[in-house]
Amino acid sequence: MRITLINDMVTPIGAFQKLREFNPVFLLESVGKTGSAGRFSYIGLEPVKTVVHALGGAGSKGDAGGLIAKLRSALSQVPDHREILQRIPAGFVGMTPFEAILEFSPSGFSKTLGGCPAEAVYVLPRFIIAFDHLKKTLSIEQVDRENLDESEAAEIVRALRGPLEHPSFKGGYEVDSTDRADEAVRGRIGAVQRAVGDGKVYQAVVSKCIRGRTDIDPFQIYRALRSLFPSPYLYFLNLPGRQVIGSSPETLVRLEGGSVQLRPLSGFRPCGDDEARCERLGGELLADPLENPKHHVFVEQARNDCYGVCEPGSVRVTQFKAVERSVNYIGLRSVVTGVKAGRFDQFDVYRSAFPAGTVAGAPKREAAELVLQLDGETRGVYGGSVGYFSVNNTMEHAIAVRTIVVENGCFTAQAGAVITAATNPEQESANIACKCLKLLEAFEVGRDLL
Amino acid sequence: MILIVDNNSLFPHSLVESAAQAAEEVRVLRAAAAAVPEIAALSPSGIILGPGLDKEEALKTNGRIVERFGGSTPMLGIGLGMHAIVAASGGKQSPSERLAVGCRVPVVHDQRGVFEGIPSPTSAGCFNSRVVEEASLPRQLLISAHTLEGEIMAVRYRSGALLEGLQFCPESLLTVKGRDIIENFVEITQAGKWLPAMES
Repeated sequence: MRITLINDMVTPIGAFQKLREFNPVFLLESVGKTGSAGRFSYIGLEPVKTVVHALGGAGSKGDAGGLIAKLRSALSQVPDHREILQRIPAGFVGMTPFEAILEFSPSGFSKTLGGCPAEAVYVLPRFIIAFDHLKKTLSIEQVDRENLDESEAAEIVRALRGPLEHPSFKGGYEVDSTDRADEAVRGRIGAVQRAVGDGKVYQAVVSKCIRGRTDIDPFQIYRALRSLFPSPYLYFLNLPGRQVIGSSPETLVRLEGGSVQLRPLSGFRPCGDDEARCERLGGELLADPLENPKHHVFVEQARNDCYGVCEPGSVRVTQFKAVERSVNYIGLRSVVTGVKAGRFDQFDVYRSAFPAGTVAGAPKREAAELVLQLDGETRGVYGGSVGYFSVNNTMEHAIAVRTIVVENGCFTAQAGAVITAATNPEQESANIACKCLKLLEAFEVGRDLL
Repeated sequence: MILIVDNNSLFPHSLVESAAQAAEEVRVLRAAAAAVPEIAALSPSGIILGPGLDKEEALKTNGRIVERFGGSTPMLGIGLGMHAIVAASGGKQSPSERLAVGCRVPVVHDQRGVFEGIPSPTSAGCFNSRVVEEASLPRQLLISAHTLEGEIMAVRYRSGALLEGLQFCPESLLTVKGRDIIENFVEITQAGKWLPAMES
């Protein structure tokens, strides 16, 4: 049961702002390749259940039944909505930190890791507001029970019809010095290249984390980030004590109607509106002696992840190394699909794909172990995932890159790159520093919005 | 039954899937659990030594399998597995300047053994950037495939015992005839078809 209304007046951003008193826990949006809005946007209201699970940290040896078991059990208690709208995140929405590989990896880690534990957090909202931008409708769907609480839904409609209060507080931000961080990045690139030379890994992702303080409203940072980097995965998670703000172009895994899909994307090149330039860059990318082998590894990893959970003979590479042009970048995209085998559920599929090779390296486990040891601190959501597990056996997760986390006035913004034997350390550390700086633009822009 | 020794490869499920398409039964043992008595107890009709990182320990583990079963059970080594076959006979491998992990190369081969019925050259995906040093190649092994630049892409025992090694990954998407290569291996194990001894 749901309420559906024609809506050509209230945007998802405006609705989120109007519904503040209903404790909105997430906003999920999407921008397609051409820059037009994706068909659906979702707002979750009033968390009724939260699954929190600590991962990693000193002395952690992992727990085979951990996060996945908790989520599986929690989702099984949510009523199965037979008539639920397709692709609606009617279930648990949240994020998994990179450190989840400590639990997901079958053989565990050889050494314990330093740093604080990272937390996976998933929330079940009472209501989901679903925007269909094609049909110009807004639906209010109840997730925690079969029948819609009509009086509360009427309250929500009243708030949506009410006035919009614009944010007035501008705030500021301050970044901790990053000189040492740049030096450390160069050191870690060198360490990864030595590990490649010693035959310990093939490639690994080195990242840089910028920290600082801000009193800008995190939702305004999100508004700025989604305008600066329109992406297929735009998310604002308003979790207890922490906001996760992201604009990710990368899919970790998708499951819909029994079909598993992985979509490795790599070799980003910034690209503006200049057609001729984009075409030239695309040609160069397809001939690039460094990017091609890297992408091949990602495709093989994606095939492998599919083979692990799909019906024999069903795995296909339906798109191989297509030059994908988006609003602000071009990259190489492949698509790997398969039919989920009956003995696996959505959580098995998720675990098989986590983490993406593009943010860990190869082999995934060895590379993840190496980068966590080199970092000496928790990666958290960077390189992990943001997405949902729905009761109708549909799930979709983005790789958490281009993501900012704000926690009690402190923020972290992290970016990285795949390091191979052939990487130029100076060039790549400059590239990583540049990616971090771009994220900071969201703070600058977020200070002054309408 | 085909036994795959999983050396913690980049894409272990892909190899299992490829073998399962060709063989009736496929078993997988992780390298750490693949001790000689365990393998003997399974009495496989063929053994595939899977790819993985060229760690010394892995080369030794696989080397022991080659020493015990090479010559009695048909065996196909891939990447690290091939290097273990070479090392077991005293050969060496070293880093390649040219072959990046994930590169696609044309492979020129002798169209015998696992290459039977496959056009030469054929395209293959390499995921191990260490290559066998030709000068170190033991006399009992012959080169059955190479790149246009001369890197060794496959080796085979001269004695006729079915022991073959591939530098590239037949289970890779980049290896266009990879399925056929694995089918050839499975067929050989089923038919007990041994190659005649070859001298050069």
